[in-house]
Amino acid sequence: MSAPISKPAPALRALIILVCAIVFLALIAYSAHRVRYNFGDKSNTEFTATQLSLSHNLIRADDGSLQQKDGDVTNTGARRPCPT
Amino acid sequence: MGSIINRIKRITIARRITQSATLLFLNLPFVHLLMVSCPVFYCHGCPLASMACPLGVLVNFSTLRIFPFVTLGILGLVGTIGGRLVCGWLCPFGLIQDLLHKIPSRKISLHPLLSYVKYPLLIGLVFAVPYFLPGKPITFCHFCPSGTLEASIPWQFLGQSSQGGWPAFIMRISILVGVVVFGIVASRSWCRVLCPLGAIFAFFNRFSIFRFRLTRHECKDCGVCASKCPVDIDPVKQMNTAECIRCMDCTCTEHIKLGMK
Repeated sequence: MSAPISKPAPALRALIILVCAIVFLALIAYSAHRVRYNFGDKSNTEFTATQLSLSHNLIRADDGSLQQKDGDVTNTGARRPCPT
Repeated sequence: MGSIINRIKRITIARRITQSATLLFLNLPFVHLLMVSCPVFYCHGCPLASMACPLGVLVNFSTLRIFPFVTLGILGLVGTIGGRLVCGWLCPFGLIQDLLHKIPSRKISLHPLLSYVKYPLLIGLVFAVPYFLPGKPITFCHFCPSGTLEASIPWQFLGQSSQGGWPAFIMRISILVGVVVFGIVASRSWCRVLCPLGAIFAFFNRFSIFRFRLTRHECKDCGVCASKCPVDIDPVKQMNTAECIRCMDCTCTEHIKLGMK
């Protein structure tokens, strides 16, 4: 039988939860307000990049820039075979 | 004993309802939330998908060398709130695993060390390989059984073949069959051994807001909670360990409760 696992002290646990909540909320907030990707001749949010990446219509070009394939497909959904 | 069985039944019914509801919601084609990752193991390649798979997004973003702020934020927040609660209560692949294990067959117990396999899988196939070898067909998505079940097979029937043709499709089907057989003989085998998303949430299990609490003076060491655990842990000795999927089956004994303390 395995040994009992130790658990963090209540104060330490509360601190970890607080830090985690702040960090992860900050990640989302930072993305929503600050993160922009330039492709398709415009500035795009991470949500657009996510949706395009699902259908593999966003690529990293040889010069290091992000490029959009197949025109604007942001409203067509990403329902294509995965991971193709 | 009768009250314990009744409580187990109630918990199981509640879990089936939440797992089925999640499965239904993730397959509503008129819901267009594909730009947002759902915090469960799923495939956005499904013809009916309504949200994105977090692992798929992490793989794609590693390939594109973009930091996945939103996906990591969502996974981190969900993990901070409940740890692996989503594994037990929301994950559609968890529902499949639960149902598979009900198929009568010889059952095996897994060695505890096998639970560490999912961590190199997460780091290697979800982050490192897509980042360092972009474009190579050896990322997690290329082997994902959820992708095979929810995307490759439906799309094959819809007349659109997978990348890599039949050899890749057969390889993926073989992996899926292996996972299914593994799920029949060992309870929650995918979740315990191979799931990279489980590896992410496991990190939060020790300190998440919702966690189990044992009223130790009421515990009679009867062993019922350990016998009911689908991931073969002893809740009395290993409470809130990284492998606990928070299914709450152990709460049938009433000495163990899920709470915020």
